[in-house]
Amino acid sequence: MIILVHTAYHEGNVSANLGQPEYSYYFVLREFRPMLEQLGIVIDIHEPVREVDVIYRNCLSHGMPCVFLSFMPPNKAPIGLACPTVPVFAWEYDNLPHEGFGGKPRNDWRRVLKHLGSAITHSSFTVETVKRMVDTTFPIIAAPAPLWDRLAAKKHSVRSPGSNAVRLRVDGIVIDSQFTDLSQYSKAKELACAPAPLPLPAERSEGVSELELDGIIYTAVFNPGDGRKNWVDMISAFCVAFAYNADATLLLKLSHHDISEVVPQMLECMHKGGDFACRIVIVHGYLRQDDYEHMVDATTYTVNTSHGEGQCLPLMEYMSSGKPAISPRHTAMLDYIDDSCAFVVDSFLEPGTWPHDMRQAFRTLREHVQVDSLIRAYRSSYYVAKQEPETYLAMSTAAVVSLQSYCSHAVVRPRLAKFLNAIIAQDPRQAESALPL
Amino acid sequence: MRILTYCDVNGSDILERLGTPEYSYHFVLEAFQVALSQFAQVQRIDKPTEADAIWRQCSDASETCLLLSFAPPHKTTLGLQCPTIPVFAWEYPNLPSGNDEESWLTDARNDWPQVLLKCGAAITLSTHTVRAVQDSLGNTYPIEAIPTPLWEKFSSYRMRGTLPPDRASVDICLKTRLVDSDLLGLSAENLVTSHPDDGTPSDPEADMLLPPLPPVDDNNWLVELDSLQQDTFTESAGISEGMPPIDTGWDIPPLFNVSTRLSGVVYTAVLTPSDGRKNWEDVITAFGWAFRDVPDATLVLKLGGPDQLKHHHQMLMLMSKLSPMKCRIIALHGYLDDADYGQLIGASTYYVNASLCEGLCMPLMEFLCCGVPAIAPNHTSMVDYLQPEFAFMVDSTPNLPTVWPHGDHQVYKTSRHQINWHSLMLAYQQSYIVAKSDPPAYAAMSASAMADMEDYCAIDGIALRLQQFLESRLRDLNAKEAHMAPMALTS
Repeated sequence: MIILVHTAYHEGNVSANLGQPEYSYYFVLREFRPMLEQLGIVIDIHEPVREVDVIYRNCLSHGMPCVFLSFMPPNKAPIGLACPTVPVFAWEYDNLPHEGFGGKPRNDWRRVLKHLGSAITHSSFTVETVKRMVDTTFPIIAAPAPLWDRLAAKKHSVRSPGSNAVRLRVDGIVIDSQFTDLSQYSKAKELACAPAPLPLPAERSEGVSELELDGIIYTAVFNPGDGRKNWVDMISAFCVAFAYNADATLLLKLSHHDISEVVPQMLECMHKGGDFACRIVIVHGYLRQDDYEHMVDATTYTVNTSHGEGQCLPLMEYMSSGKPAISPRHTAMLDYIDDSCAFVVDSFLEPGTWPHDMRQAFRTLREHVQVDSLIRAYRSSYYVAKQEPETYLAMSTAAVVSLQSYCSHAVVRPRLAKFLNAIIAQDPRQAESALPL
Repeated sequence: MRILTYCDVNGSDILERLGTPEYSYHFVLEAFQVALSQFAQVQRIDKPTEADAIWRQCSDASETCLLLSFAPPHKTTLGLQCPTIPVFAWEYPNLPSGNDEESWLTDARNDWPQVLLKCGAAITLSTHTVRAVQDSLGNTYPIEAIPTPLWEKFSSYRMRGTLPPDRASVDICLKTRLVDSDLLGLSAENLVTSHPDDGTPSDPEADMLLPPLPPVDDNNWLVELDSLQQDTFTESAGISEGMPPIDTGWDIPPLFNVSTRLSGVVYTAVLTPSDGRKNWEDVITAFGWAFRDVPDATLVLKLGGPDQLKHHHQMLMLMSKLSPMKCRIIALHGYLDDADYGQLIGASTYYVNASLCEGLCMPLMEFLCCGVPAIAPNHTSMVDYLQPEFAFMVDSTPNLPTVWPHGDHQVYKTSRHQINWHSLMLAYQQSYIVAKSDPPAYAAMSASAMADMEDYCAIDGIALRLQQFLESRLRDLNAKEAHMAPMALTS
C-alpha cells in the first residue's frame, strides 16, 4: 500500500511555528508515521494538488493500492483529487462547523466530509458527532496518535511520589513564583502598562540552567496561546488548593513561539492568588529528550483543565508513562479518563465558538471545569500522594492500562489497517485496476 | 421603644443613586420601617450624629432608644452613645478583615468583625450571612436573619390574579428607554474581531463539488409541543397609548412612552450589569441559545446602574454573536415607576436570576410575591426562600475565587458561586415547555410561590421577630450596664 501524507509544517519549520493553527498536526503525524510505515510505503507530500494524483495514477497503472491522508482540518483538505482523500483531523466541540462562514463553502465541514466520503479522527466523541451531523453510516474511525508503545516501553521509575528531589537541565526561560516579585504583576500595574504587556520578570533565568523540583509535582504541558487550555482556572484553583502547602508545585511547560504576552498574564493570575505557600514554575524552552523524560519522571500528576480536547498528546504521554491525571472527563478524555486513573474534575457546557471562525459567533458548546471540583481534585490527589502510596501506585498502573486500550499499536493498527483497506476497496478505479499478484 | 433609622440615601436623592450599592439599603429601610412601626416609635434621621441627642432625650424620659444603621459595617458610625445596630446585606461566605486591602488601612471600620463586636449585635437579611458572621465571631454572637418585608407591598398586583403562562399577546406601555432586538437587524456576519483569517481555501469551481446539505436542526426538545394549540389569550395594559419602539443602533433610544406587544413566554430579569455578580452575560446567552429557533420567547432585561452605553454595546455584541435568533430580547434602561414596574411583573411568565451570589435579591422576591415563578440557583441568600415547587433550580458550585466588591480588586479574598450555564439553558427550555403545555402545573407553581413568600416575608411575622430581637438586645444592654455599674463605683 502506498500511503501519501501531508501536513502544514515539517521538521524544519515546526519549532518556529509552535502554537500556530495546525502546528499540532505535525506532532500527530510524527506519532502515526512508524505505524503507517508498518502498513505500507509512506510518501511525504508537500503540494497535494500537484503531487498526489501523479503518484495515484502511477499506482493505478501498477495495480498498487494508494490512499492520501491529509493531516489537516477538513476545511483545508484538498477536495478535487482523484486519489481517495482521507482527512485526519482533531476536533473537540459539540457540533461540526456547519456554515460556510467567511464566504467559504468549505467551512461547512459536513459538506467537505460528505464529498470526501470518509475521515479519521482521534476520539469516539468526535466519531459520534460526525455521524450525527453528516450521516449515521458515515465511514469514520477514532484512531488516536499511537504513542503508548513508545512511552510504556521505557522503564519509568516507580517510586513513591514526592520522595526525592530531581534536577532538570533546561535550555530556555524559567520563571519561578518563589523567586519572583509577584507584586509587579498586579491588575493595576497591568492596566497601567496596557496595551503593552508587562515585561517578563527580572528574576527569570534564561539560557541553560538547572531546575530543582521536589515534593508533589503537578505538570501541564500546553500551548498558552490556545484559549481552550483554560490555564486561568488551572492556576487560580492551584493557589487556593495549596495556599498552605509549600511542597506542592505546579510546573507549566509552555509550547508557543512567543510568550511575551501570556506569561505576564499568568503572573497576574498568580498575584491574584494572594499569599500562597505552594510553588508555580513556568518553563519555556527546549528540553533534550532525556531531560523531557526526567520531567515526566519527576511528575506526580499531570493536569488538564481544558474546554475540550481532540485527543491531548501531553496528557496521553504522561498517562502512558504511568502518571495519573487531574482532568475533566469530556470530549476525547471520555475514551481514557475515569476514576481509576484520574481525579476526575466535573465540567459543564457553555457557549463556544468554532476556533477558526473569524466572526467568533456562538455556534457550538464547549466544556468548562467546575473550579470547586478542580480544587477538590488537587487536594484529594495531594492527600493520596502523601498518605496513600498504594492507591497512587494503583492509579499509576490503571493509567498505563487505560492508555494502552486507547492508543497502543495493538489497538490502533488493526483498526486503521482495516479502515484504509476498505477505503481502497471502495475506490472504483483501484478495484478495476487491481492486478493479480 | 424609640427606633432611629438611618441610611446614606434619602427619598429625595434616590433617583440619582439608582444602581449604587447604597440604593438598595434605602428600599430595605423603607420596608423595615413599616414593620418597626408596629411596635415602636420610628424616626428616620438624616445624619447618624443626630442619634445621640434623641437618645439622651429618651434616656431622660426613661424611654429605650436604638439606632438601626442600614449600611455595611465599614460605613457604620461608631462611638455613639446611642446603641447602634447595623442592618446589612452580605453575599460572601467570609467577612472583610482590616488588612485585606491597602486602601482600607486608613479606616479601622474596614475590619468588619471588629465593627460588629463593637456594636454588640447586628441584623442581616439572610441565614447565609448569619453563618458568615458566626463563623468569624462565634455562634453566640447575636445576629438575626430578617428578610425585607415585601409581601404586603404587592397585594394590589396580586388582586389582579396571574395571567396564563403562555399568551398570544400582552400589550405593555412603559415610560423607558427601550432597546428591542427585533429592530436591530442583528447578524453575526459582520462581526469585527481580532481573529485572523485562517487561510481556508476557496475556489468557486472546486467548491461546486461539495454536495448541498440542509441547515442543522437542533430542536428535538420542541417536538412534544408540536400537537399543542396556540394560546389565544390577550391582554391590553391600556394605561396610556405610547409610540412603538425605535431602533437607534449604537445609541440607546431616548426616554418616551413606549408601547409594545409581548407574546408567548416572557422571562424577566431586573439587574445592574456593572455589578459583576449578576452574571447577566449568562442570562442573555443561555436565553439566546435555548430559544434561537423559538419566536415566542421574550427576555426582558430591566437594567440599572452606571455605564449604560457600555452595557448596551456589550449586549449588542452578545446578541450579534448569537444571531440569527428568532427569540426576542428587550432591554429597559433606567428607572421604572411603580405602575410600570407593576406592568412588567404582570407581563412576566418567569423571573430569571443567574447571580454568582446574593445578599437577598429583592426583585426576585417581589416577582415571587406576585406569583411569578423563577429560574434561579439555590445558593447564598436564595436558599432561605427558593423551593423546587416554584423554581427551576440552576446548578451552581461554591468556591469560585474572587475579590472583595469594595476593595482594591487586586487579590482574591473571598469566593462566590460558579453557575452551570448548561443547567441554566435547560431550565429555560424546561420552563418554556411547562408554560406552553401544562398551565395547571404553572398555576400550582405560582400559587406555591405566593404561599411561601407570605410565610417568608409578610410584615406581621417580621415585626414580631424584629421586636423580639431588639428587646433581647435591650435586655443584654441593661444587664451589661448593671454589671458595669458596681465596677465603676469601686474604681
